[in-house]
Amino acid sequence: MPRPGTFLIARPVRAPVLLHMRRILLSLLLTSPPAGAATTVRVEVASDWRPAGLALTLQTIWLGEPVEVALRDDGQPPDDRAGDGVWTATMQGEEVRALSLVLRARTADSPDDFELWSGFEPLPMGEQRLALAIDDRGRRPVARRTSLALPMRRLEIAEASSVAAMFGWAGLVLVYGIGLAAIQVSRRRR
Amino acid sequence: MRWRRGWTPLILLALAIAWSWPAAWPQGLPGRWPDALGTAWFIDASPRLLSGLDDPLTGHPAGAHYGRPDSFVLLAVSALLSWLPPVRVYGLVTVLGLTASAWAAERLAAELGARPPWSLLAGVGFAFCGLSSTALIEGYPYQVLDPWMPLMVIFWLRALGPEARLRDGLLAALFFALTLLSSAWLGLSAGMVLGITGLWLGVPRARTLRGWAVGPGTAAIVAVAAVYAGLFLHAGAGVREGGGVAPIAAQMRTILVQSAGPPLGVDVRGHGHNHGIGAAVPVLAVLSPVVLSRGRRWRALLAVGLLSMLASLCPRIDPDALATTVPGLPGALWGALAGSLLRFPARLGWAWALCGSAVAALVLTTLARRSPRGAAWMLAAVLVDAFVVQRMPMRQAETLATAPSAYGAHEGPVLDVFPDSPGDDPQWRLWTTNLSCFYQVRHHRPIADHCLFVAGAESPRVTRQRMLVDAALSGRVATAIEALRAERFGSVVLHLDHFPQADGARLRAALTRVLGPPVESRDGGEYVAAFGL
Repeated sequence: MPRPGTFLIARPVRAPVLLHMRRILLSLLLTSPPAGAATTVRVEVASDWRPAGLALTLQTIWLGEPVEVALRDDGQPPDDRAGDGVWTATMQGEEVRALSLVLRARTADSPDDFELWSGFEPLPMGEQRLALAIDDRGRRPVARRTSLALPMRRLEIAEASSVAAMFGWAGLVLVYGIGLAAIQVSRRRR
Repeated sequence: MRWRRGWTPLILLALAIAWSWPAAWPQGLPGRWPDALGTAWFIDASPRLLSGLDDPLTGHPAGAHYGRPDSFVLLAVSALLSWLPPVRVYGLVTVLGLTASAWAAERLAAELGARPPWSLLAGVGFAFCGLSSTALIEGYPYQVLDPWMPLMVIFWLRALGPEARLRDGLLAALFFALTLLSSAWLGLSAGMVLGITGLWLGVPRARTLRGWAVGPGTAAIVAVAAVYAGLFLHAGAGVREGGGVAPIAAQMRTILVQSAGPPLGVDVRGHGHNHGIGAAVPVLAVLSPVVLSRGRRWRALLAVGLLSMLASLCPRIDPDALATTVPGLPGALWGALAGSLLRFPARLGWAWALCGSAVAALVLTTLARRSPRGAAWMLAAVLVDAFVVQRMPMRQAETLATAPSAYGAHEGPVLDVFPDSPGDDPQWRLWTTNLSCFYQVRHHRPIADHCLFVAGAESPRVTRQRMLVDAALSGRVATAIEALRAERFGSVVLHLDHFPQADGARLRAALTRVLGPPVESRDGGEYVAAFGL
């Protein structure tokens, strides 16, 4: 039972300022990452290959649980536009470090589905976007991991355009630099 | 407006934080590819590696000796900062390394005669170049902790000047040693700078001697170019595709594409390599003979830079292809040459990044005297090169920095078991090894993997996991378990997400029959099952 009077709960100790600062610094530096975050993977498969009855599915094992999702190109979420040749699916769950993925296809001609692509994808934290493109220029269609969800031919154009833009930038800087140097040289001569 | 001294490091620090984000305040581990995990392990292991580079906590049961760590400087820095979590040390090394490197490069430009704010171009051009972005995305922050090379050049130029003092030479040697100890590739670039500037500026005391130095220098450049031209002509001869070296013609195409900046697909598979020479620095450096009238020092640096750029644009050469190309020379010599010098020729571009940027800053200073507004746009262009062309920090990513809690269920050495190779990913072995090592940062138990390169030795983890999986799938798991117990392993951890489902289930069932039910966890980004031995 507490009795009336003054109680000394702890001896008052004045910690040195440096100790306080060290504690503050440590508390800032030792911050832990937030727990329980989620991983979202949006998979986009671009295809100019459009056989009758095409259906694409993506399979993986997410933290021990088999997951199979159908990709869609009908304008329903998560797909953006119906019939644009970009098939989309999203998967979401507890944070995962990497996924082994398999993309399979089924058509009206081949009701037994077959593998278009399989790959191991280390996943950085947060929302991830994986792009693939189906290349039907060979004997049988295969999918390739790409930087953008564009059909192979348009992807090659996009990559070439990106390189051209970078070289164009270098050219622009070169012309500008020559102009500056020309001003310098002409003033020096004067 | 008068430029205050403190502005330069503050501006460079702000740029470093922005460019390397989220390194300054990471939620996970900055870095897109598996070597970032390995670097975090190295930072954590540094205090115990200081005693002779031996590590009893890896390579179990024998332990491991790591004679060739990537960076002795990182070893020392990490040991000094061992009171901080490795992920924080990783971030600090990145941000402060970039700042220090940029500031030192800016000082080199000032030594040549550049004035702030134009000398900032040297700092940005060197520290925020394509090679730096590759280092950060791949997970080598120690490569951007390199104020040593610019400082080496500063004191080396002084040592070669008319008022040279012994102290200058000694400091140049010290900073060269630190560069070499930061990374072998930086050391190679620094050696190139030392050798050529020494030849250019040190030997020719008289005009005749200078002429003598220029002649062999030019001959050397022509000879190197001729050798490479010969190699290009032998593009198809003896080049292995399966051995990880792409055909030379294909490499040349890639190099040409990457010379302007990272292509769209650079971060899709495995590595984030890009040369990223940029635009502002090469343009200004190329204009230097027109804009700058006098001075031998900038000419020497320009020569080194151009030679370095030439070397960095060469394709990776297969040692066997070299041996067949020039059959008279010993294969071992070619092997050593290709294994060390030519394995990643792009990294020889560090000398270009430094020397080219310093000369470019001097050119910009000269241009700014007549047209300061025009020069300001050029300074903005180098920032566009760093942030827009390199797409930094947008290309950077963070990897989970946690580990599955099942590791905490047992004690003693851990055997991590992954499938041998799911799919066709060449990075699989690298990823599994680095992951196994990174988890040790969290659980602190001995592991079987070798976490750094050990010449001529296969990872003890791989041999034991192969033995265990073979035994489990063929009904002889008890024998394998006994062998692991004899080696004092405390637990086996199955990484089940990456096994084909049927194989994973069989393996789990086989081990459960002998060892009882495992402790499972689904945190830390993986589903693992830990069996106590």
